[in-house]
Amino acid sequence: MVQLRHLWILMILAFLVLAPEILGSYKVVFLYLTFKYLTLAASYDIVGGQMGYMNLGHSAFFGLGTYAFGILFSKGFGVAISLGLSVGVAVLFALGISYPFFRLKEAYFALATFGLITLLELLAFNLADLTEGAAGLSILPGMPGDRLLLTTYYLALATALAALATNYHIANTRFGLALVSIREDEEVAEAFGIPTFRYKQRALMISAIFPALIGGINMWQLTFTDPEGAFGIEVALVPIVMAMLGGTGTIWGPILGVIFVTVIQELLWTRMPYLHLAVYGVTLLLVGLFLPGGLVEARRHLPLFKRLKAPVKMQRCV
Amino acid sequence: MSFTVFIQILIGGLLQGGIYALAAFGLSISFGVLNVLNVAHGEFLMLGAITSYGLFKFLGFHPLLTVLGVFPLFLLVGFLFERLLLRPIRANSPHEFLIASILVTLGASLMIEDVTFFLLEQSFISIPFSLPSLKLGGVVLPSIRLIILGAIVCLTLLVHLYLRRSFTGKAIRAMTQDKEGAMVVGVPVPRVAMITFGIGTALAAAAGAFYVILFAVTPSIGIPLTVRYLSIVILGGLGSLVGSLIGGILLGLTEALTNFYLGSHWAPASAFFLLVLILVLRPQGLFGYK
Amino acid sequence: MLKRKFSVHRSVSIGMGMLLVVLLLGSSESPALAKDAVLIGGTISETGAFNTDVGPFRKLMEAWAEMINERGGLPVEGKKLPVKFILYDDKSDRDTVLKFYEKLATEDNVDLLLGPYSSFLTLAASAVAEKHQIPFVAVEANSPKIYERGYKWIVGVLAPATIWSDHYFNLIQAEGKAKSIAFISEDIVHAREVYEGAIKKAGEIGLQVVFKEVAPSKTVDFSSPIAKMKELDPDIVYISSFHPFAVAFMKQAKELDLNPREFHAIHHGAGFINALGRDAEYIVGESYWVPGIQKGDAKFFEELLKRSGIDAGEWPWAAIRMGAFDAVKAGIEKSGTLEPAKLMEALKTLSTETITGTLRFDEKGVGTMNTIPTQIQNGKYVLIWPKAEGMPAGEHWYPTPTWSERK
Repeated sequence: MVQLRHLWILMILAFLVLAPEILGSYKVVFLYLTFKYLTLAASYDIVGGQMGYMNLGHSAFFGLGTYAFGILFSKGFGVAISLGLSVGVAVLFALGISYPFFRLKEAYFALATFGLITLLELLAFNLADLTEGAAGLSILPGMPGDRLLLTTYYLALATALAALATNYHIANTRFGLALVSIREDEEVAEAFGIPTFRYKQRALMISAIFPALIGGINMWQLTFTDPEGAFGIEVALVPIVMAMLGGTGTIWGPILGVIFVTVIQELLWTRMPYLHLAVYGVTLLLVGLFLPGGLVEARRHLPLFKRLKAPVKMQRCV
Repeated sequence: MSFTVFIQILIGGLLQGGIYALAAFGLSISFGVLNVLNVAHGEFLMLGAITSYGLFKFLGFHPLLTVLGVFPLFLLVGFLFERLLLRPIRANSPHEFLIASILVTLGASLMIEDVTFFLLEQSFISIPFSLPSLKLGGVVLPSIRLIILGAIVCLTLLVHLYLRRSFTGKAIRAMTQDKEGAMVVGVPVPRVAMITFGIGTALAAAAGAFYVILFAVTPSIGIPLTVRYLSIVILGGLGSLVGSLIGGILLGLTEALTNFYLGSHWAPASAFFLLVLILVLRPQGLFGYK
Repeated sequence: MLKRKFSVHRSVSIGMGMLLVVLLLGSSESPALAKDAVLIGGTISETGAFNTDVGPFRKLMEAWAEMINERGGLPVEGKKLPVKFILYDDKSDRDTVLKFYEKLATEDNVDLLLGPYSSFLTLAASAVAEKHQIPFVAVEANSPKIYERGYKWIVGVLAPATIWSDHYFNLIQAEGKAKSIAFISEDIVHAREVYEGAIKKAGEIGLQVVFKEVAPSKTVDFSSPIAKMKELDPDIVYISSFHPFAVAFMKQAKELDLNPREFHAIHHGAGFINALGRDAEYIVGESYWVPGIQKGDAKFFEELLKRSGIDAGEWPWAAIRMGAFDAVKAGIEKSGTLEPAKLMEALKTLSTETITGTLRFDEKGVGTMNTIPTQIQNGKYVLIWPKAEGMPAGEHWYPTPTWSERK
């Protein structure tokens, strides 16, 4: 069992690494965008899935990473330093907001974090001396287009893998177990001696690393951003929807969700001139109605897979 | 700035708050009672606006009376929506329900938005209608907004009475407090849920009927509006109608004052800060339970 | 320590399978065919925020191709080839634009690219064209930023946003009646660039700028700026924004009884009159074209509009597209070939007549199509300046009566 599974994964990885040689630049861009969404969906799931706090403001870290990179890079700092500092900014931000925000529960938390993005978008508009406001921030990438795409492709791939690996690692440690217990019943967890606030904060900070990183990489690739591109509703909701669709709280959920959505988008967008957003909406609706546990749960409903074990997901006891 | 200007600003904020409250009202009901994060709320407002425009343009309704046609129509829409899309997912665990409700309502939102884009011939709509404003001293009071404020205050009183006196009203209150307990004492939860959601949807659409007179409506206003009205509901406290009224007005005033002293570009930020401030000081909102 | 059991290699296979399917399906790297049509690629914002500006333009493009093909097509290497468009919906979104322009450039093998709507999307699309060295004609995009990157493969038909209201201010200066002006702008690139250019020009002609403010896009409550403007009593109130913003502002201006001698809204087409009814009267704004202007092939344009069912007042940017079409046609006719470098050279050195006048590009690629001021009079857009040959300028109604006088 173990051998076969590892072989599959290795094959996929090899394919992805060699992709720029085999495929045209259009598909490379397509894969790059997939990595971007995968990073966002997987890192969201640390807090949103494993810990059960729907951080609808997750893309705030992405936006911060985007702008931080843009500002630092255009001031002359190198790529590595700019990326590093961008991550630092996002992690510090996560540290700061955890004090007021983790006092809130469930829906309140979700709403407040979403409002955070709106606030950051507004700040991006208003602090125009720093961010160039509505006009948007441009940088000169310092590298010809082809090499840039190649470099950012690999960086994005690495980041996505790192995010997934972190997810996996956390799930297999006591820390991950603590997060799950916070999700299932926070008061009981606290009663059992788990330092809930500290752990929640730590989880949030970890989840901030990858979106910030991919935000900076993305800024380098696009050479341009503006408040809506960094903090808009689309970049905020799409990765989260992907994670939910695939199945939050699991490792493969975000992966399946991202693949599923990008496949559908690709099939629809080039073939249907109208109404693809509606079809996308209908898909979400159907999944919500019949498979709220996400695609990952689909296995349970198909007789073929009955003899496979489901991932450990605790049910509410009351 | 002169005193008259200051009063004008305050009144502007108050009236704007009335508009916010009207739209948030319906959301407070469905969110407070049914625990559904209804992302599609703004879409119903938008649809109500378009329906109202249609009634005005093609059936010659008076702009202020379109709400009479819009309200019953959207009661029905709300019933159907709840019955077909929300009831089936209620069986899940609370965490899964939250996720499922987001997926379903978000999916519905995107669908509604896109189909509307497709079918609507104009890019944005608005009903050209105005009433002469009242002038007191140097201060101008826009009449339509006064009417809206009046309407929302009446509505709040009406619904408040309904909740206190009628059986369904009491059933709704029971469900807000403890769903299982309500079921135990014989409250027909599924039917009451359907009625509640219907009322919430109809109120959103009614708000849309006024919205289209005051502003311009495009198919894409749905989701941003939902976010704003959700914040008002949370600010006021879940389950409290008076809370969302006060919350809306508070928001309108805060924005107007920020607008005045710091400039228009900081007004939306004030909304956010207000929300966070209240939530930090009082996590259940101004008037919420628990 | 609990270990999650990942016996999910089935899911992995499904995932892999799907990925492969997608990649294979997308594999339309068609072998190089003998050239049998001129392929022009582009994206249109059929959904998303910009749908209110260019939503139905696919019909416009296809009608143009139809009309050109009826007339025989375009001359390439001595033969006349038909024109074919390959168009996608960009959802008014930048990632999507990036993706589709890559596709158009590498898989669909287009000969020429037309830009998407807005400077914002054009910045991304043109970067792809530059990378693959395909001639790119920017359409509804007039931000100077586009041309500051030193690109060699771009021309854009529009003059920079900063001179948007120049003709209007020339009129004001010639009349000599207005003395003061108040500005309000939507916080979005296009509106801001116009706003900044307008403030500068207003200063140059001697108008006193008594108030200026930028408000977020989604603002619906203007009671504060309006109250301040009332106190200052400017002659002109200038609104730099897209329609929903301007409509909400005008409605409140009436509610709160703001009475300048003139309202100016830079975008006053496409449904503006429907939304405001009689309250839209007297408002001055800018258009690219009104029926009656005799420049370029006006008849062709009128036929084009009729065929695609698009009304020039409702969709003012149709005129810009026509300018782009004229540029493409003239460029191909001039170079006689689709060979990229030669075609690009031909485009850059063009001087052709289009429906708004002469179209030329400067060394950075910036074009010359600019707007003219039009006033809403009796529900129609009337050209009010300049009075010149081929331009049927009407009378400028100034000052605007107060709201109470207008009953």
